[in-house]
Amino acid sequence: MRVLLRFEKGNEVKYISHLDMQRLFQRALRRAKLPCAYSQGFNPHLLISFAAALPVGVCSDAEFVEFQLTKFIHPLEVMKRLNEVMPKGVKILNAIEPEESFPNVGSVIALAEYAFTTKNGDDYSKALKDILAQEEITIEKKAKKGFALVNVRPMIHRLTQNGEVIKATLSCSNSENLRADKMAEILSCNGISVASIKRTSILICIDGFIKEPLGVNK
Amino acid sequence: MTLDDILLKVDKPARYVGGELNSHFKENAEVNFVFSYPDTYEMGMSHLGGKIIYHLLNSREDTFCQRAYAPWVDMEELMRKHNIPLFTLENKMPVKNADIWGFTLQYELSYTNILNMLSLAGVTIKSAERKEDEPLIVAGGPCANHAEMLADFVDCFLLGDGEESLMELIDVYKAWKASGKSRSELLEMLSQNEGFYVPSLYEHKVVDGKLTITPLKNAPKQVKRRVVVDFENTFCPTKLIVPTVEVVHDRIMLEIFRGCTRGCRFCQAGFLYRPIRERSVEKLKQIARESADSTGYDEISLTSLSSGDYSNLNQLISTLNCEFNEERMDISLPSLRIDSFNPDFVSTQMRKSSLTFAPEAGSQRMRNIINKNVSEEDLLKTVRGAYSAGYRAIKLYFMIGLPFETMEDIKGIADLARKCTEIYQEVFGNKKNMRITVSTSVFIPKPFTPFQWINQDSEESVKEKQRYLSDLIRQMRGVEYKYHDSTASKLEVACARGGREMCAVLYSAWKNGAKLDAWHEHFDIEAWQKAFAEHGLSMEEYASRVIDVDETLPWDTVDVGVTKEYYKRELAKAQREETTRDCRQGCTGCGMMNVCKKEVKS
Ligand code: SF4
Repeated sequence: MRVLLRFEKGNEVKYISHLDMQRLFQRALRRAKLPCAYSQGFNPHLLISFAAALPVGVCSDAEFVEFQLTKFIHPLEVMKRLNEVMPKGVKILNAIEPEESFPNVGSVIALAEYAFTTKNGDDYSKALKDILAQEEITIEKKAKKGFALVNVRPMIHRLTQNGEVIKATLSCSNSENLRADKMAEILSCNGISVASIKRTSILICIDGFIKEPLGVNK
Repeated sequence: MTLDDILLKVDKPARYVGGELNSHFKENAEVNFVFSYPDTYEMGMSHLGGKIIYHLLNSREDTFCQRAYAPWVDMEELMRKHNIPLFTLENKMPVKNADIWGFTLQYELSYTNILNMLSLAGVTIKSAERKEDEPLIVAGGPCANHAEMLADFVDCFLLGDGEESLMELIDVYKAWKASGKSRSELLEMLSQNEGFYVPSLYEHKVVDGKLTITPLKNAPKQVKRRVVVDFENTFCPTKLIVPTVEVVHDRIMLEIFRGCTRGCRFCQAGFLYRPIRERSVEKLKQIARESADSTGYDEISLTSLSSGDYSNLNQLISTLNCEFNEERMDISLPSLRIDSFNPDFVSTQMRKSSLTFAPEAGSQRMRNIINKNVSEEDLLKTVRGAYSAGYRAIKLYFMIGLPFETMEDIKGIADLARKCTEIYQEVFGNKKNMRITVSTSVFIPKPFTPFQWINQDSEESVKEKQRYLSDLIRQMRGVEYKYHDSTASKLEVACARGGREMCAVLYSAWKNGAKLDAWHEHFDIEAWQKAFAEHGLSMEEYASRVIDVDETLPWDTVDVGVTKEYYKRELAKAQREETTRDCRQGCTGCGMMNVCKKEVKS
């Protein structure tokens, strides 16, 4: 059976890299004694996939992971068992068994929303307007060979301020992706210094509809 | 600049913030202890001893043990620039505020890191100048038995197994704190406990090149290394801290026994951890089970100095296989025994790569000298077994520059490799995909071994031997020769065998910029050479010195249990090319009979 989880990556674990986070999950699944499915072949590995790598130093309450179990366990039971064995800072927020037709989250991801907490809480509405007014914002991005200059302006979809927090909706698909740490650099180039970043949601696009993969159970 | 701002700028910031699964948090502990492995997080968190100490101390309610490691250069630079003192992973407490700061000494090339860490923490580097309220600096681990080079910097060495002595350290510390006595009185109190070596209570005088050691203020003439006799029931952590950054050894290290009975004459650990003390299969199964449940690791490594020697190995492996039958647990032996290789014990990890064997020397004569009791026949049989099991790549480890070595012995290494190629041909019918790697390291004479008095082979001679071997091997297709640069090994001899005069050299080397010496990319031989010269000393002289067996040695204050007489006898036997049996087959009289008897009784 497939299990899709939404989890939180809190302050305590924000410096853990994507790869180390995967290892952390694999061990947690073992501690929770969940009957996980493995791939076939000479070197079997756990069938697990994470959506949208988060840059180091960024918190999130919109992380998604999917894995498979060899027998049915209620997703909420899976969530409970995992939460009992997680280190501080990692918390499963919701769990579902996706329908068979439901695609892998990573493959349909389109947008991500972030909250950038500013250092001093000033009103930056003008700076934000200026950013949005630009036609081109080029940044250096790692390419196959060295670096390439990319115009990321089209990847910024929304930029608003709410108190000391700047909210941004950014492209986050396999073909177009503006990382949160790069966005923070753009903000800082425009005089906004960011104290902390958090991913607040991820939006997927299925058949032209934008939606959240799964909400949060409160 | 906040710590967060800095962490975003450095490589692998997770190594500086702690918060790992099973790490500890406490408030208002009576004794604040900081444990440091004087190298990076990845090295430190791979070390079993450190995990034992961490969980042992935290098992006490009155004590909070936190960790601090050597920051990588990028982090150090920013810490110094922004005046951030060395802090603990757990509470981000400045290490300077600790009551006791303990280091483990696993290799000499970590010593500059200790000075660097003291300086980063803002703790006075020299013991004699340390103020009353600064942390007590202690150090343990194998090198603590002969760390005269650190005598000026470490307040107290803890010799031998720490499971009991660390607990005593805390008790004495608390009693001292309650008494309101001075720092120097604390040192005197400590020196009265077995295994506690307070270097400042021993005067070292060198007259005409001869050393005399005088104990002061009631300090014992010799300090005995501590040995945990009841190893079966001694503290063994099972709720182990699980690092968040991938480290070198990232698995359950199941310590199946401590000590080794083989008596290889070059191997310091073989003497320093005597006698052999095994855990029962039942106990190991329980430890393994609890460790697996609390960590989620998928690999257990059966750890010891020579795991193939465990007396119930087959039973242990089948018990563990049965216990973890359904869990995809990889159970492996880190080192393979040449005389009883069983392909079933090789981990899947290793199966992917190659098999490593360590004959250590190429000729039978040389193996007799170093008492590596393995015959060529054993080795070739094992290699045949490995090939028959389908392995195509093997690695063979040797030492060169061994005592009494001749070119004929070096040729023996090439001959062995050639015989392996022939076996490959026989087993596979051709030499396709054959990969044999021959690696050599340079022999280092170590204190507390029969070769402690012997000189190290000169750099020229080592180079010549490497060239010779390289020429011989180049003629063989499918065989590759790798060797280590020998410059660092000279330094290691000086650090291991040097006396207190080396304290000044260490200090200067650190001042000259030496740090992270164990990292090839940071090792700065010039900083060291300059330091030796500044004090009128030479690394070469330390390395090439033949020490008279009757001379007082700088480490003579330490009684590791094995007697000097025994070392002398073993050296004489080496000269006569005679072997000494594995003492499982009968005691060979090394001097540890008291403890061995106790072990038998229990
Ligand atoms: S006393 Fe005898 S049996 Fe014990 S370690 Fe020494 S040689 Fe081995």
